Amino acid sequence: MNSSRKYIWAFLITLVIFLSVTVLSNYFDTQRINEVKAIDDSISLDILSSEIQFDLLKQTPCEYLGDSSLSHELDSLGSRLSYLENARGANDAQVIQLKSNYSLLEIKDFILMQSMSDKCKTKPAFVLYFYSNRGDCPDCQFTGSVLTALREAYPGVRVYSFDYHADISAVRTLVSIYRIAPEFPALVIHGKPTYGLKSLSQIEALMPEVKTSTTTATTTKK
Amino acid sequence: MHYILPTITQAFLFISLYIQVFLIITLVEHRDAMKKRPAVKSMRPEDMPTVSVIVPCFNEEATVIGTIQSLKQLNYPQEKLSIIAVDDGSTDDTWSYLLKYQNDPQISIYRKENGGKHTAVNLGIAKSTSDIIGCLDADSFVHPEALNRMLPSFMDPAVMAVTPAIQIRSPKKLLEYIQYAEYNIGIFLRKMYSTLNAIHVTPGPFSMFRRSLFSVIGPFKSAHNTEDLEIALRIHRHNFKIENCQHAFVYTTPPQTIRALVKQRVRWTTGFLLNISDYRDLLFSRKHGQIGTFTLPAGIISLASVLFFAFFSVVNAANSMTNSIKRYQLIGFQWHWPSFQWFYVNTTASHFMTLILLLSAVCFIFLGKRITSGTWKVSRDMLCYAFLYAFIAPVWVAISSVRAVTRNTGSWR
Repeated sequence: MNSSRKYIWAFLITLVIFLSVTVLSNYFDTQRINEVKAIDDSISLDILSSEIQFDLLKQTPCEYLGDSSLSHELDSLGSRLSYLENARGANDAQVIQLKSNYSLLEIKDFILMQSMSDKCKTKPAFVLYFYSNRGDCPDCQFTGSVLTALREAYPGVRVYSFDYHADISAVRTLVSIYRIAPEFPALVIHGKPTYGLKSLSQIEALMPEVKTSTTTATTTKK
Repeated sequence: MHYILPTITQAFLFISLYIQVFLIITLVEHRDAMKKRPAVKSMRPEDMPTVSVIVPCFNEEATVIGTIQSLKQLNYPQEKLSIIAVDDGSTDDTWSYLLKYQNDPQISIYRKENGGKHTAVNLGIAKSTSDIIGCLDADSFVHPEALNRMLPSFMDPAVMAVTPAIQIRSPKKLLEYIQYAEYNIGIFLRKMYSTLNAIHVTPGPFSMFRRSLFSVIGPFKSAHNTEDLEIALRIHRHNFKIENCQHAFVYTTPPQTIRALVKQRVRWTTGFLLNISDYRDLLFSRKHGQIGTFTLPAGIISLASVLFFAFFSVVNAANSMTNSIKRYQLIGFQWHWPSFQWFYVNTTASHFMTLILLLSAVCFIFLGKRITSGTWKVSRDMLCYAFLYAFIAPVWVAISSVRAVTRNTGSWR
């Protein structure tokens, strides 16, 4: 084989390998997206089921209202979304779509849990966490780790995380209800916003009731 | 900005893969040449050329006797083989050891003021009248059949130099095993470059030259302490051929400490970069064959890749460590058993490309091993190489790059 042809053949073979691994990589990405969508659908159905169960049992004692079993699935969905967001970028259209669904599911779960705690007179331990991934929150990754540690230490705590800049009207409503300023990381504990990076012990001090909370955990994003 | 780093990464991976694919095509194309073992038996005794082997020595008292003895045991007519040992101003007992050979008719010994390896070799060339001139570093040892296997390559009148297959002598320590695997890759690569007429170095251990070559291209030069690399480039500039004989084994003594290894490789790599700068007319020159269109660009790309990936690995490791410390301050120590989930397996195109490149590097180690020992067995040197080399190589590439930019050649030892 003359040398020019060899250079061309080598280029073509390299190109074929390169394109093949790109296709393979895209295939795995699509599989991941489908897996996240499946979890998303499953949670939607579960939430609908919980809402109906709650409506049906409004007149019944609290002990018949089982705890929502969504926490583990929301957790799994959140960590998978976080991985996808890192891998594909925060501006990826599919990631944005999945994140929107996830945020709505979180809000639904939050409302349901609040209603249940109102009815049953329990003291819920909720944390709303607002982060930004526009490069203006270097501490958000650490806040995510602190909240994960909080959930592991106190399974009764429910953490709901939201992208502050997400173009979702329900999220914007939450921002206006709790009057959250664009300072990150922002946490809403007992309905009051607090800003800046906090250690586990600082958050524990803000939520002394966590040690007695009985509800289960949900997810920590970012 | 967000896309610049991934794009550069992909570009490096693509070019690195291209180099590997090119070598594999060359291997397939020349698979018969890999098997062929030339034998001097095909040469009539009267056709056998006279050969002088120059042994330049500087403070080699520990090994010089062994080196000369291995030359004396070469299976070659004694009257056609002479040994010229040149003491380049040693400050140890090298000269005393050489004096033991002062009455040996096959061996000539000379002593001169220290002037660098190239001056010692040039003195030997001036004293020699043989058809073929070889060099052998005084810390290396030859296989008895090495010369016989190399000389048939000179039957092609265009061949001006022949290089051997260099191996590490009896590896015992971890560092020696790492270099053993590396030298095995070198044996494979040198053979591939030989089939392309694109060998870029005629190494100190037992490279052979046609005597007439020096009257055309001149003697060895200091060449940033890499005279063996410079003369190879000069040979290519004159459009002569350099062959490789993969069955002519020469055993060299490797650096025994990481510090010595890094120092040696800094000298080699700095010399490579500075000599390329001196011979930049060869780069991408089709007139000079594939030395300029493949070997030299591939070498530069390889060094740049090592620097690029090492830099970002260090930055990532530093970030990861800083983040871990900060997390510890925020939440204390937390231990989690690692869990495996397919969802989180890295399946990016870059990751697949890296795996393919690693796989081909492993294939090259096996091919080198196949040439040297005839086996395909996995050995400890491969594992040592794979796990440790990646941590050491970036160090000398980084130092060499700085030295090349500042044109600081450094000292030989």
